[in-house]
Amino acid sequence: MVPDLNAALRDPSVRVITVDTDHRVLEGLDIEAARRDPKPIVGTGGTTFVHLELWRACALPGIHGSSPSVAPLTRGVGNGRGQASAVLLGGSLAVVRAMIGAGLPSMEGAILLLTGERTQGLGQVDRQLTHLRRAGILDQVRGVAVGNFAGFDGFVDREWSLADVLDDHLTRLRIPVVTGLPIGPGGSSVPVGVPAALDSDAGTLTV
Amino acid sequence: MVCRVRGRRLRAGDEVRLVSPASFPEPSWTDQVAATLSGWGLRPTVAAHAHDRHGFLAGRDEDRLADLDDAFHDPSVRAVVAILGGAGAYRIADRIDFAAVRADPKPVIGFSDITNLHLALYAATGLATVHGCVGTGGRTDESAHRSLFSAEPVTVHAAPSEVTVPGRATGTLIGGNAGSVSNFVGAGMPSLDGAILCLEGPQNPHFDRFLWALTRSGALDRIAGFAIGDLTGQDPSVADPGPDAAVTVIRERLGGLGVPILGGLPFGHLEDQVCLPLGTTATIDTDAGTLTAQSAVC
Repeated sequence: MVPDLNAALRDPSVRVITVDTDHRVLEGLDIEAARRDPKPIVGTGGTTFVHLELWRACALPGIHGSSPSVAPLTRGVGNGRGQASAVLLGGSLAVVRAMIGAGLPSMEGAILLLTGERTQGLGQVDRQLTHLRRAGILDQVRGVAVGNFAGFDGFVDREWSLADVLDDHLTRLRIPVVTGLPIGPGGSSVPVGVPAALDSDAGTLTV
Repeated sequence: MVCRVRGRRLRAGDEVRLVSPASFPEPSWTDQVAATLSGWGLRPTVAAHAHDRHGFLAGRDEDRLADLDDAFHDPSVRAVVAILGGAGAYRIADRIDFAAVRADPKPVIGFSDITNLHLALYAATGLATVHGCVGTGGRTDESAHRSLFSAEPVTVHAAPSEVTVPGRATGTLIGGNAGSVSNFVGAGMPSLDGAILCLEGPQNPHFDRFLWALTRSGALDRIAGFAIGDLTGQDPSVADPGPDAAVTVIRERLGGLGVPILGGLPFGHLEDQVCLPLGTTATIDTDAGTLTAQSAVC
């Protein structure tokens, strides 16, 4: 997997890389090649590991989604706490969480993008969001943009749905939050590592 | 030996408090736990919110936390028994009244999600606790009773295991459920320098990712050894455990660190697990196939 990604990073004729990967790809990742010849890396889920690593190492933007063509404006439901303009960082919640203490770039002042795919129940999402809170990340960011959480439609555990878990963590924040954005697994693509505007009154994310 | 923060061992007539820091139990299970404790001559009392329901949680964070703090504040309560794990202890573990714990240490027993309490209590106060449960009978209850009533060291025998790396190591025993330990990476992990990290967990797609992150965080740089419990359980909340068996992952991630690993220990999500002290000095010896730990009580 690493040779493939590194080969693509080094190949000047390759202009976009679409990859489905995980944490294992980071050991041996050719960061110099990415710095020398920046090109967007496209993916969701474990590809967020690459996005976060390359953002930290050389401020390289990526594309969160399955297609390289990005949606400049997406609509969701805002919490009515105004607007934030900042760099959009993140992607897979499970991956952001997994990199806490293990190479996660600073989220200070960023708009945090969170998407997900169900591998476990609601407890897992609750653990992940709690880890972000306990690590101080939810206090550092300027806004939160919540995209698709695939596999949770209609999923209920002891009377709670995904929306209840998200609300429980995000409604206490005093910053702009927009949920239900059609971004990520099964949805639109957005660039990460670029300036974005989150409007929690209009319920929009603009990149 | 370092003076540990330990509660005194239990005696007949002591009050013990049953709490639900994570998910809510069936009342019949609480009755079974209480009956077991009564059978040991103890006076079990059930915390006010132990059967509250709030989603998958046993009530709101404030109420589950208040139940824990009440147990630590009440001088007549001599041990805290988690009725069930599940999910949610991680939400309140940092907010326990640690000054009260230091002022009047008492053992806490639980496992799975309750590992979050063990870690937070150890990190903040150095409190020794007990990994395990009460009420399932057999050697689990025998070892729970011994862990709470005896100040003598505990020896646990391991089965042969593919993850074992030969050697002998001594250090403070820290850890428990792997998924709960992962909550502390970069967020309040107690120092593992010179420690023996114990890990157990049902099949889980995130196991390799967790050990990768734990290693990358530097937490294992000066680890003394590992004590590995059950890795075979099925977690009903896991949609797809993924292709990587925990045994393979442990061999690949931990097997080359140059420290002993004792696998095959009977703690974790087993029907008849053995209860273990946590936060006390322990020795693993792969020749003897044993883990010996100082008691969590004095």
